[in-house]
Amino acid sequence: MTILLDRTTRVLVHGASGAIGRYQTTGMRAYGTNVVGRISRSGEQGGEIPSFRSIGEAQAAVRADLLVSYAGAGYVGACAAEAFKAGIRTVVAVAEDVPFRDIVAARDAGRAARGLLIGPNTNGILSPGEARVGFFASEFGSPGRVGVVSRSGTLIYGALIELSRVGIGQSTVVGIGGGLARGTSALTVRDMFEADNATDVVVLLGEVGSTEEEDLAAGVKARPGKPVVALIIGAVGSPDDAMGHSGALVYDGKGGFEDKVGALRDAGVHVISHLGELAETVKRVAARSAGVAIK
Amino acid sequence: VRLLEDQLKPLLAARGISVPAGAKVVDRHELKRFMGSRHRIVLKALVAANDRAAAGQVVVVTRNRAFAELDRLLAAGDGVWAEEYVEYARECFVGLVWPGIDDAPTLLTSDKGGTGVSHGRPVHRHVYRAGESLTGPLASLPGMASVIRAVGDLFEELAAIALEINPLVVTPDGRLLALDAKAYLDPYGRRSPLGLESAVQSTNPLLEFARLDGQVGVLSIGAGLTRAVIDWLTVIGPGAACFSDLIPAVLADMTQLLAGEAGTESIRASAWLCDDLAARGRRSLLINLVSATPIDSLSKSVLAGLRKANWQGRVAVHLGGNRSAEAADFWRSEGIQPAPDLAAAIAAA
Repeated sequence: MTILLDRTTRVLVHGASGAIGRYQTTGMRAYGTNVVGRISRSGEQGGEIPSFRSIGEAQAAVRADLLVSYAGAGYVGACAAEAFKAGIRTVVAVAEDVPFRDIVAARDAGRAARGLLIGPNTNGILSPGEARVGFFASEFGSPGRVGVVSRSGTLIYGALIELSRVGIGQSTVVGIGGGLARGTSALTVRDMFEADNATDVVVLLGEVGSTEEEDLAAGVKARPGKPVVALIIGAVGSPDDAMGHSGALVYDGKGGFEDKVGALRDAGVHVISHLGELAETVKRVAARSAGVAIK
Repeated sequence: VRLLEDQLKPLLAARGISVPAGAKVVDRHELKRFMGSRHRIVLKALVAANDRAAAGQVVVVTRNRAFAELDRLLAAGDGVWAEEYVEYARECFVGLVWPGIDDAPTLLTSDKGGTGVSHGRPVHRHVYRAGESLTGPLASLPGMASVIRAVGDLFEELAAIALEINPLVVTPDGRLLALDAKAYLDPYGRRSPLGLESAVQSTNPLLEFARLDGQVGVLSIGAGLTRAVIDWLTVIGPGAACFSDLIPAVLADMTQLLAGEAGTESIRASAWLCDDLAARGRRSLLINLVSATPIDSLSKSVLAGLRKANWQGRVAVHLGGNRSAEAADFWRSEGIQPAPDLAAAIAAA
């Protein structure tokens, strides 16, 4: 079992006509993702993949479980609302620079439909050996029992290389998004891993800005469970400079590096000081947990 | 994106909130024209600081001191806001903030100015838009509902995350007057027809970049991994000389990169970084190319950039992701052996 995505998940692709969407759709299918349709407002046909003019039309024909959108920032709000209304449970939006109010509206549409918005500004979801949606290259990740949740996309890549290099595989990897706001919190994903019998250890890849990590720490403290290993980036640099991620801005004195590390340690989370310590720490933590055998 | 006083006050006035007569001035000639027959005025440096009064950037001046103070304040910021001097009987505060995605917008009020907010509560949009159901210390002030309504309208129109009037003052004849105000806007919010696009700070279109104090230049893809490498370098010793993320250039070059070609903007960004490092006396460069973007074509771009800048320093390379095996072959063919992992690359750099 994985969370959110496996080889049976029926995936609909929005924004598949652009260069990036086309490239990623080909890659997803080659990896094993069950792509059941694509949305093309112009009616352009997509070869072996059925093409539909609207999400509603697609849903009536293919009954997708998950929609991944490669469309630009201006389309995310409407696309997510349409998808949730059509009964799709999970929407993954990769676009950057989505307006705050559009994210709130999309997140609320998901909640009303008991669905989940992953992102925006995410590189997607990867269940190694099963399926991937978003921007993951097939070279990243290997099957195993570590769940990974991250605000940063490229930090995921670095972490997967570090883990896989020493034979530590992953159950599911979820990028929740590095922007000002996101549809799904790190705590929500941690709770999913907590209920997932294929996950033994959770890795949190966080960064300065927002209270995402502090919220997760509070959840872990209130409901202890599987061990959590955390890396918080942003120890170096000015708190006034987001350095690439709009969500990494320390605003109004909240979301600073020390606050996050303190809250996580207080909750019993194993906080490492740099990426090079990740693999060994996961190994050590897993070994300490009785009955846990990390692949 | 923060709006400064000269941008915000006309917007408040247009929505019926009284503001003192004022104007942005950038030289003595403009100040003289604004002063006219006024004997006493207020001068404020247009800077994004939180307590300008404490920093001496807000001053009440008479005519004979005005030019000297203007010269001093012009050195501090991007122009000066000149304003009529207003006597008032009482200071208040009113603001709307959206603390986070899981919170509702919150209306903050106080019967004091400054930073002492004494009453805050989440409010539904219809509340602040209608200016109804006002509670707290300012509920009994005549005209306050109109102010709240106007602030709410502007909050929505600007796609603001925070908007505050501080202080909002009550004049001796009972009028409400916004003496100062600031707003933080969603940088990705839709632009309203207010001509505020110029408020968005420009960034280097080719490279997300910041100079740091360490020794090793870091050329990487993606903010998160770049920052992780910077932290790692700092923990083990030499520190990073810069934060430099190729993502803007990669996005601009995507068609070329997907076609297996070197990208024009990626070449330019790489060369620009090498020039900056060399000019600052740094002699070591860590190239960390880990991405779902084809790494082989990106490697061609980066190496072309190094050559364009005639980079003479040390180079350590780490590769991962899409077509990274082909990229490793490319670097080896150019006489550079990629490191087997990131730790080895950092050690080599």
